[in-house]
Amino acid sequence: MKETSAGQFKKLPAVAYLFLVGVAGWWIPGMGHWLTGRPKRAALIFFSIMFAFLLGIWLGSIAVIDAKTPWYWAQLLNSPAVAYLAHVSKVFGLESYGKPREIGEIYTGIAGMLNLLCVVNAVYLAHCDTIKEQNK
Amino acid sequence: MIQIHILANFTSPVYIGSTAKALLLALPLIAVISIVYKAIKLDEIKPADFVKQVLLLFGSILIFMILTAVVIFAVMKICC
Repeated sequence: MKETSAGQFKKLPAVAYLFLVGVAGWWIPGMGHWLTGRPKRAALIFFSIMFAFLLGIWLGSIAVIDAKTPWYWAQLLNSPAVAYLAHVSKVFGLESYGKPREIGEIYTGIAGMLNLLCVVNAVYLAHCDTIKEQNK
Repeated sequence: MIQIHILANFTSPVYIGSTAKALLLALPLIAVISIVYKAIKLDEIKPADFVKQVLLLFGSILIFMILTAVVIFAVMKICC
């Protein structure tokens, strides 16, 4: 994860670069920061969000990812891969009730909302970098 | 075989009793929130400063949650 390898994306048109940073940050937590040349932040974000998400689905099982509940929209902010987990959970008829489900939903939902915060921050940082480049 | 064992861990929920110990499950989440928030908020990531800032935020959230719990408990005791 060298800054130079991430720096090549900065040569893209401004809108495409911002879009790429936003989408990459959504697909893989921390990827948006890595693309803007901030690998330390990217690693911290990736490991923290993955830890919260994995702990959530370990506590409540992947049945906590249920497309019929409002929590699903928060969970989906972790990554589009969550939609696949919801599909797997539905196909295998997995169920989770009570406290494990509540806590699992809270963990995975909050992990998703934290990722949204990181995506917004990564796009903002990319925008600031673009303006700096233009003013040079 | 190991992969199946790992996957199996995510297909059935763990047992969490309705005890005071279950409240400890809030701690990892508070830690994650503190780390992610400080990772995007600090201008520069220096290990010593970062850990200090994370611990400060972690402590602040924890103290605020304990105070909130005490206030709610007191209100419940007085009103109910």
